[in-house]
Parts: sequence; structure tokens; C-alpha cells
Amino acid sequence: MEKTKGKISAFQFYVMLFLSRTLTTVTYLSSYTENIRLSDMLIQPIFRIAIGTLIMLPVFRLYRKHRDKNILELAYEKSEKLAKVVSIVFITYFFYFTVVTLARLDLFAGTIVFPETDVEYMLIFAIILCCYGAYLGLEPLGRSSVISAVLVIPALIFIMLTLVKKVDFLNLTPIFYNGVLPVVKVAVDSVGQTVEYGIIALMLPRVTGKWRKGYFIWLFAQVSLMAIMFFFACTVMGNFASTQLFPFHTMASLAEFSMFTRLDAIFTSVWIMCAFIKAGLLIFLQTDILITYFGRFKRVYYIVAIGILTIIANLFISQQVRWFNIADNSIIKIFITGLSVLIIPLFILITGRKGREKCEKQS
Amino acid sequence: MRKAVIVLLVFFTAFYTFNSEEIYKKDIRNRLVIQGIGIDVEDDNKYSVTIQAIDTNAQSASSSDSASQPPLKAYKMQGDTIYTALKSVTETEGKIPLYSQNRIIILGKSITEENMADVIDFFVRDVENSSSVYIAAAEKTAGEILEAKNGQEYISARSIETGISSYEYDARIFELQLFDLINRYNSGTKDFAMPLLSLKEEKGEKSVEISGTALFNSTKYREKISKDETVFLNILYDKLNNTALSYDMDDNKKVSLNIVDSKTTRTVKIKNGQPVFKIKVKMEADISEISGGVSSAMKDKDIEKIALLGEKYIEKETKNLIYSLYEEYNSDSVGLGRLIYILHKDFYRKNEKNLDSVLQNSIYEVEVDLKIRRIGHEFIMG
Repeated sequence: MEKTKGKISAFQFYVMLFLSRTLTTVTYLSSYTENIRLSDMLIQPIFRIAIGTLIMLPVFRLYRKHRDKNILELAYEKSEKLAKVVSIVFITYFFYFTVVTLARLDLFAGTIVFPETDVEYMLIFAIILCCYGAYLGLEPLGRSSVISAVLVIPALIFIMLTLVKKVDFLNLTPIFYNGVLPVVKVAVDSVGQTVEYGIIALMLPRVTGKWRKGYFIWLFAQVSLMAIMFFFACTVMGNFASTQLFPFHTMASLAEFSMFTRLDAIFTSVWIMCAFIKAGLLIFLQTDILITYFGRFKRVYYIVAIGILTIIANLFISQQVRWFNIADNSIIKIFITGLSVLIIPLFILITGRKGREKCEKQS
Repeated sequence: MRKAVIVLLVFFTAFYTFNSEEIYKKDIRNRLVIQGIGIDVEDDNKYSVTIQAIDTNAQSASSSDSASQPPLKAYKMQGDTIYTALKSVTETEGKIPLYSQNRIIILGKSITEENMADVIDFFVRDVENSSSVYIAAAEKTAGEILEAKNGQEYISARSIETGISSYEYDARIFELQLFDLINRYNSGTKDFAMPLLSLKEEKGEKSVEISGTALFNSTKYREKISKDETVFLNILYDKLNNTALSYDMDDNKKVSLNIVDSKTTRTVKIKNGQPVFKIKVKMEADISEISGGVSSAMKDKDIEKIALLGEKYIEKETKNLIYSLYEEYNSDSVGLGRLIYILHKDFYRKNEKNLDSVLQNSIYEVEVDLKIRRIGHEFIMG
């Protein structure tokens, strides 16, 4: 096993994760609101904070004891086979989210930006760029994230400020109209969409500085962004939001400032920037795991291989919207997130304790 | 790696730039730049779609006077659906419709009185359509409005859009955008309001006028209210920004106010199983005119009296409109029913099916607080 290299500051790491999660927030698909009313979407982030904190407890417990080893290394200490199984789970996890992220970008570009154009070439080029980002490594991705955040955050704030005038509180709905359970379900679904928990679970040993404090700031920031965006979507568009495939993009298209009326263009650039960071980071992590546990070749070959597989998967999905719906399945996401972020760390934690107790008894 | 990425970047840019199909679609001369869409239903139940579009051929051939209105052309097509009707324009004109510049959707009487819900889907589904495009109803047919000519030139959809967008400065005009129509259509009562357009002809000169506001109940046209009544509809909607308002004084004089700011708050309480709505209106106004000759220096008590009479007038007219809306037209186009839904969900659940009669039997309390901000040049005496 080759020891993983490269460190990143807590600030850069969480900024990168913030942008990565922002992409999921802004590309939110309205189909998830099926069971709950609009105002419940504003409450849902509170449940997300609770669930997000709970599922990360085993990971935090693990890293409190073993600050310098990641989950894969801890699994390797138990057995090589276990490490390989965990590696495959994480590679699948990250590959799946890379494909879904880019498939959503493809759906967006094909539906909204260039509805009459074949976007396959654009998709291939986007994947090549993400592979290039992964090739550059963790530190350049971190630095690009900070620069992107300087552009993305003011852009989102600007769009929302221009919408203040259009806010209509009559568009709100009663809270918990259909009970609390549907809201919790949507919060669980939202956690399932957050691949960043998996990234944290794998990368914390590489993060220097106040990683735990950073986690809560990140969690609060991204959940707040989500709540604010839902607030504007609900109060500005009302029930119209639930008829739109990409409601936040539609919301941006309603924003106008002075003579500038197409602020959705800003929104599109935010989306592309975040997609580059997210997919680049996910491809980087897959490459890193492959080199560490199955490594025989140069890094660039792994990146090219992942890139080609991602292109094939995305070209297949982009043929029919039905394939996208199958790929972008909530149950798959919740399952794979639960397995990688909760069950595997919990397993390592429990077996570690049992092993220690056994050693103590023997001694 | 860096060189390879740069080479690919150049390749893809070149591919997109020189792809012949893309060039054809991007060339504005091959597109029919739609400015307005009007929809009617013919006797054979087919949709009759009238579009007003910029005549790009005529524009490129015409003079370089860019300030003048672009040459327009109207087309009328028929089809089983809106989409098939619109698509058929390519057959006759050889151009691909471009909807993103569309300024207004006009629905004819045959649509608003019958099957309005059937025509909305196209505008929501088609991604080129802007969500913020204005919607208006026609007193007769939508086609006659978009085909109307004043002399040699068409009355442009753009000028109609400008008229509707002036609601910010004149609350006698009501505005409705596509996204808000869908929002109201999807919410409970399906009641809403939209500007009503009519074609006028005087001394051979045609003009399109906003003749009032059309009220809808369950997506069907119910009644028209006048432009003066529309001011109070905008008050109830909390959409009033600026408008002129005039009313009688005791001494046969008429006072005109320029309302410069208005805020309406609506609340509802359930008392003895009956909703009691409280509508509070806070307004600021400037006195623009007092008829009956130049008046002598104003006193504080005169200003107070003008404000008091104004409050009474607004209260009375707002109550009259509420009565008309709920008692006569049975239209919750201002969304007060939704207030019950938000604030008293259990009561709403119980009465969801007979909300119309609940609203008819509700109590409406209107309270107006009018402050006079300026009186113009005139001197004030203490």
C-alpha cells in the first residue's frame, strides 16, 4: 500500500466542499418536493443539520483516535481484503456521484441552455476539463475553489437581493401540513445527495487546522444557503417552482437588476464552476484510491481510464431522460452514503474496540 | 497534459463555431423573432394561433434607422395543439420560431371562457418561453389585437407590453406574469385576475387599450372590473406602487392625490367558526390638485380633512370591491382564501370544498391609514 500524499488547509477543504454542495443545492430537482409543501422545504434544512451531525459521529470518533490515518488505512490495518472492499465501495460511491453530477449538467445544458443543440460534445469536453483538474491535484483544486467561491457567493447573494421585491408571503404554505414524517424523509434524501460526507470521511487526515470546527461551519453555511434559496424560491415563485425541472435556475431567470434582465446567465456560470470543482475532486479521489490500493501504473493512466468510463456512462444516460431518472435515484444515493459514511466507519470502530478488548483479556 | 487540454479546447470551440447546423440556427435571418402570441379557439375546436414577429428580411433590407420600430409581420396558423399550430409557421415562412423574445401572450375570449387550462402547458414546458412574459385576456379575439394595423404599421406587441408594465406607475393597470398565473392555477381555488385588452377604433385610427381587469374563477372568466376598480384590486394584492386617486370633498371640490407608497397587510382570525379578515392599508400621498380655483393657504386641519376623507373613500371602495369579488363574481382572485390555508390549516381542511361560500360569509374589516407627505408649492398655515 502506497501512503497517500498531499495536505490541504481546513479553510480550503471546506470551501471546496461548500462549492461542491452548492452545486447539488442549485441543481435541485423539484420532484423531491412531491410529498411536502413549499414551506416545509424551509424547515427541512434543520432536520438535515441533525441527521448530518448524527451520521458523522462514527467518523469523528474514529479520527479523534487515529488522526493520521484515513478509513481505508484503518481498514487495511485489520485486513488487506477489507481495505480492498472498502476501497471498491468508495470508488463506486465517488464514481456514481461523478456520473450523476455530470448527467445533471448534461440534462441542464440540453434542456435549458442549448435546447436545440447536441450537448454530447460539450459534456465530453467538460469531463476532460474535470480530469485535468483532478490531474493538477488537491492543492490546485483547493486554490481554484477559494477563487471560485469569491465569484460564486457574491453572485448568488446578488441574484437573491434582486428578488427581494418579488417576495410574496402569500405563497408560503402551512408548516407540517402533511405531518413531520414527509419532511424528515426529504431531509434524509437531502443527506443522501451529499457526497461531501463521504469526502470528509475519507479526507479528514489530510486536512490541517481546525477540521471539526470547520465541519460545523461548513454544515451550517451550506444548510443556511439551502434554506435561503428555498425561501426565495417559495415566496417568489410559489407553486410555479414545483412545475419546473430546475426551479432555482427559473428563479434566477426572474431576477432583474436595472437594465440587466438575464441573471440566469450568472447562475449558469455558478453551476459550471461548481461542477468543475466537484467532479474534479471526485475524480481525484477515485484516482487516489486506485493508486493507493491497486496501483501499478502512472496517475495519468488512471485519470484517463476514469474519464473514459465517465464519458461512456454519461453518453449512455444522456440518450433518454428515463435513464437519468434511474441513475439519479434517491434510494441508491441514501444506501451508498449510509454504507460509506455510517456503516463502514461504525464497523471499523466496533471491530477495533472488540479487537482491543480481546488483546486486553489475553494480556 | 496542459497542451493536450488546450488542443482539445481549440478543437471543441472550432467544432461549435463551424458546425453548419448550429450556424443555421444561430443566424437571426433564419429565425422568426416572435414578439406576441395570441390564442383563440375556432368553431371546429382547433386552436387558432396568431403571432406577431419581427420581419427579419424586411429589417435587413430597410433603412439603417435603428431607432424606429422594427418591421413586424403577423401570421395566423391553425392546429390541434398550440405547438403544432406554431410549428406550421416554418412551412409557410421557412424560418424557425424564436420564442425567447416573446413579450406577451394574449388569450382570446373563446379560451378564457372555456378551456384556459388546456393552453397553459406549452408555455410552461417550452424552455425558450420566458417565465416572466405578461399574460392578458382579449375582450374579443386575441387574433384581432395582434393583427391590428394603424395605417400601414402593426400595433406592436411591444407597445402592449409597455402599457401593461406601466402598472408600477399607474395602479389602474393590473399585471400578471406567466409564472404567477401558474402559481395561482396550482393553488387551491384556481382564481386569478389579468389585464383585459380591447381593440378601439376612432376616426379610422385603431388602438389597443387596457380596458380593465378580467376576473377568473376556477380558470374561467367571470367578470370585468373597470380600471378605477383595479386600483383597489392592486391595494388588496399589495401591488400598488404609485397611482393617481381622486375623490369628492364636502364643498363640491375634488381632490387628486398621487399615492407614492402603499403597504397592505392581510390577516385572518377565526371567530365563532367564521373567518374575520383584517386588511390594513398604510399609504403615503402627495396632494396633486384641488379643483375649484386656486385655494387659499392650507391649514393643518385641511390636510387632516383631506387625509380623513381619503381614508374613508379608500375604505369604502375597497369594501365594495371585496363585496363584488366574493358576492357577485365568486372569485377569490386576491387570494384571501389562501390566507386561511396558511394561517388556519385545520379550518381550511374542514372547509376546503366549500371555500367559496366560506369566503362569501366571512367578515372583512378594512382599515386605511393615509398620510399626506407633500402638498406641492402651496403655503401651509399652522
